[in-house]
Amino acid sequence: MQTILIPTDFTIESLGLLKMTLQEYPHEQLNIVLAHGTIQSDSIQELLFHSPARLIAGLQGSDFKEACAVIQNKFSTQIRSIRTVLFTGKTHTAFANLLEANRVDAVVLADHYTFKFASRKSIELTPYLRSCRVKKLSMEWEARPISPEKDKLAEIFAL
Amino acid sequence: MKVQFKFLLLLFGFFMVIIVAYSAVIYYSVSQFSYEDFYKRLEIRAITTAKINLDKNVENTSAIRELRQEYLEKLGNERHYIFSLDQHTDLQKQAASINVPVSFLEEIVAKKTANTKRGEVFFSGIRYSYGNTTSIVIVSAKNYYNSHHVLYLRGVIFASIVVVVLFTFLFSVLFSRLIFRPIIKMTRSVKSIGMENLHMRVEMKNEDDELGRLAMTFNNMLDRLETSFETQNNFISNASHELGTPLTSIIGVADVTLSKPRSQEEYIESLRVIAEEAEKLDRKTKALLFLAQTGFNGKVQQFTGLRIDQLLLDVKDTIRKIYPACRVIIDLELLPESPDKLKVSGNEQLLHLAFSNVIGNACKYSENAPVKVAIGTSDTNVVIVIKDEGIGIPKDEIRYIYDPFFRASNTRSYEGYGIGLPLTRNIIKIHGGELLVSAIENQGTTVQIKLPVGDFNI
Repeated sequence: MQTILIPTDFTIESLGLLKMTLQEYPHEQLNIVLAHGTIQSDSIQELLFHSPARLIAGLQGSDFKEACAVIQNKFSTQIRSIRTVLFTGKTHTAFANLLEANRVDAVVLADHYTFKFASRKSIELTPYLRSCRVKKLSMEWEARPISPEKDKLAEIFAL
Repeated sequence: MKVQFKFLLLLFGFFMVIIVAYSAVIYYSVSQFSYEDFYKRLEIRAITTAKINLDKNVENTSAIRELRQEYLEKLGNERHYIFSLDQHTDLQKQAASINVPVSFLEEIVAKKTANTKRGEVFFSGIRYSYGNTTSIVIVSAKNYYNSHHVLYLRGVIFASIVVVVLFTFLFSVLFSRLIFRPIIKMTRSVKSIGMENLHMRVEMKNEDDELGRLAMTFNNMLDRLETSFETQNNFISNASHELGTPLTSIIGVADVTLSKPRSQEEYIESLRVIAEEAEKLDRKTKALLFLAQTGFNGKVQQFTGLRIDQLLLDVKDTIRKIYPACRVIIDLELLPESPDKLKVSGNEQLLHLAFSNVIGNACKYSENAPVKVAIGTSDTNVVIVIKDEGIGIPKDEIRYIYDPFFRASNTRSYEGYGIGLPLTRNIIKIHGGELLVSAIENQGTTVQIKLPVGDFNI
């Protein structure tokens, strides 16, 4: 049983990475960690009242949550758990700590996919993923052309 | 107005009862207190009178007389009555001379002190023994406090009650109007909804409070009404159209063939065409009969347990009869592993109609290009996505697609009455689901339907 970390920008299109990963390893039970990076300001107030759960809830739309649930119900024997974590560090060491804290066995690299972040505070995790010491799984996932169901729950069926 | 009026009276009556009770309690305690107080004063005077007149000890009596002069003021109409009490005393005669009831004197004899009053005159009497003589001493006076202060209090209370009655009535009227205004407003808005504008709904400001729930119930009822109306309309329009087309073909071919003598091959060909069209007519009639069954049910909508995949397979069969050239592909890629998650609680015929509508539209407006129907389940909802690659919907017209009889500007070369989608949306709403249509013009349309997962055992 492995723990795999998959970067996300909370768009339904990025869940294609998750789907691809699950299809590549059909016989394994996986713990999925969806990771999103944000800049955390240095203000005392933010540090004191830092609540990753609240921040994630604010970034994650209800459509995204439902799409995750659809995937989870489809791959219910394969997925043991899905959770979302927030990376608020700045250094590669901090990222390595995050991987260790979540006991990540492998990370997913999407070389040809550009993440579209909704918030200006979000950061790209790709450089951290490239330089980390954990096993890297490369997924050939590409952005889809514009379709009517973009960013709606229906998009998950078209991926 | 009746309930409002009852409410007003109730409120007003309640306030009045409280105010009157309050005033009565105040008045009663004050006047009771003034009585008690006055009797005590009289009693002191009776005792001092007794001591002064009957006590044979001269030093005591002069001291007491002095005290009385200095510290006990003279009450209005103060009178003193003393008579000795022995076996010859006629209480009746004494009572008559003082003008008090005999029971008063008898009470003094029995209990040593008694009080009584006659109108404004208060009497207090004691039985005083000195040595072996017993006398009865009675002091009477007019109760100043009763006649002036308590009387004044009574007047004030009455006057203020009058003012309070006015204010309370005004307040009750305003308050009852305030409470009932939203209900009256809702009544008025519902009154305006008739058969012509059945798609209007009652405005709902706050979902949580009782009025919000009333509005929601009204809207639900209107949804059901509209669905049944539209179902009937739908059937009639569909019937006349669908039956008309093959008949027109048959009549046309027959007319042309009969217009002049023809060869045997031509007659065979015409008969073949007629037979084909008649078969089409037969199929369509069967499909329309089904439509009628869903519309004219007459009974209350019963919800049963359904499997969504089975339902969609049935719909696929129905569509094949109406649009035989269309390819409907059911995409089971994201189907949940557990079949429990495919359960939906609903009315099979209505849902069949709703999905037939959407998938039929997808076929119709995409010139029989493949239509993909995907099924999946999230935690609470079953999600069905119908995607076509047809003419789409112009962006500024998407808001109007749910209006009855609306047809988008790019549908001119396609037949339809603009009734299917509003009907479908109502059906989905009745089942507690959501319908979302997104489209890009000339690229395609995607319809996303969510239905709550059913909670029943198969």
